[in-house]
Amino acid sequence: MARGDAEFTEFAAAGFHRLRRAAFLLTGNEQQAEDAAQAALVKTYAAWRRVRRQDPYAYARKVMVNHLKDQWRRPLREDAHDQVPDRPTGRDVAGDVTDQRWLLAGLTALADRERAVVVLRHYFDLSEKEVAAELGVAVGTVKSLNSRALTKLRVTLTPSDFAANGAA
Amino acid sequence: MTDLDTFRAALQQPDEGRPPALDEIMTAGRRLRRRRLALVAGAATVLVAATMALWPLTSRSEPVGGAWPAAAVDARGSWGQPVATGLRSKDREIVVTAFRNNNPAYPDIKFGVRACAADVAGELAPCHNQFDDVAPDRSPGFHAIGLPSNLDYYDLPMYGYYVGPAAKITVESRGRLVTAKTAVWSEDENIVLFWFTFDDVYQKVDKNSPLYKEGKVTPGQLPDVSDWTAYDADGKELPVGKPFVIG
Repeated sequence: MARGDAEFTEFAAAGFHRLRRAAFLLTGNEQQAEDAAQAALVKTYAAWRRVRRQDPYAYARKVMVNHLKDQWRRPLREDAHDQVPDRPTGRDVAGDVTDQRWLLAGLTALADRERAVVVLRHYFDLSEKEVAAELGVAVGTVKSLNSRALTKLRVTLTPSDFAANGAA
Repeated sequence: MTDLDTFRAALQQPDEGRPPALDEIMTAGRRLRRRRLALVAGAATVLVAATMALWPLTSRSEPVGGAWPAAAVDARGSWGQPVATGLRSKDREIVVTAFRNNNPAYPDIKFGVRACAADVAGELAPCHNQFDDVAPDRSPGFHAIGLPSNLDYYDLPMYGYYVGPAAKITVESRGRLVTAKTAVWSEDENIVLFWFTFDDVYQKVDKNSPLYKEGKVTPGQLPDVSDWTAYDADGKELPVGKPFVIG
């Protein structure tokens, strides 16, 4: 196996699950998530010589998000549902199937762009500026989409969260 | 209610699915790489041939709003004749067209519009799709307006559609009144597809961004747009409808 192929194999094995998890959070559909993660790796491998010395994971993430963006069929959904169920209380989140169902129900209720901002910001832990660049929107748009999404999800923010989220 | 840390922890649950099908991924990746190389070679050939053929005519203005050659385009997912905008992004031509919307949740929205980057083989990809849910899709006025965007590393213009006999469409962007390019949709002469050039409505590129230096995306500040106006052939103002700009 060529050295580049060995590097890619190692990269793909390490990054695939995280990409697929992100795609699942973005789509709520396991098959779509699998396809999106694989498509991202196919394109990353096709460009491997160019991206291997840069940041291949960022490249794969961007390809995957763009792949899913291309499937969006509607713009910002202002009327997206506001009836997100309250998260069950008194349960441990880690490994809790009920919480995952709550999470998916909440994410499904978001507009496409809100969902993308939430996943890029809170799953990939990108800065607002990076999210804005990734989605091709203004930083202010990211802030408002993030704020609106968290409100719909009934996620409460502490003062330090507000600072971290760039709120005034 | 949920605090942010708990929410983030829920997001971070590990993926427990099967491992990646590496053989399939690498085979498909090699095929894609070969196809891209073939397209680049083909594009260079076409460019040289076109330059030689058009050399005496290069002083004439580029056609705007011409129909994209139907035989050359793979318009899967599109509805109607794609329209060449005259805009280019990197190695691709930007076209605008429409698509059918079959989402039962929006029974009065039968179609939306899309801007696509067309490669030399005529394949439309990537495409940015949008439709309007602010008003019924064929109600008079502006619909489904999207700001300039960057998709899969291709720049796409601000575009949308107007319902009515619009001969001229203007908007104020960054303090300047600019006029859209227009084309009547092949499937309904009462619907006008419009788009703006990258010179007229544009993102302010942040050249200090590392992303810009890597050539990966075009990061920047989106423009404010206002004063949407449409005129008929006699210069009379037409209904604005409910312009809804997707930011």
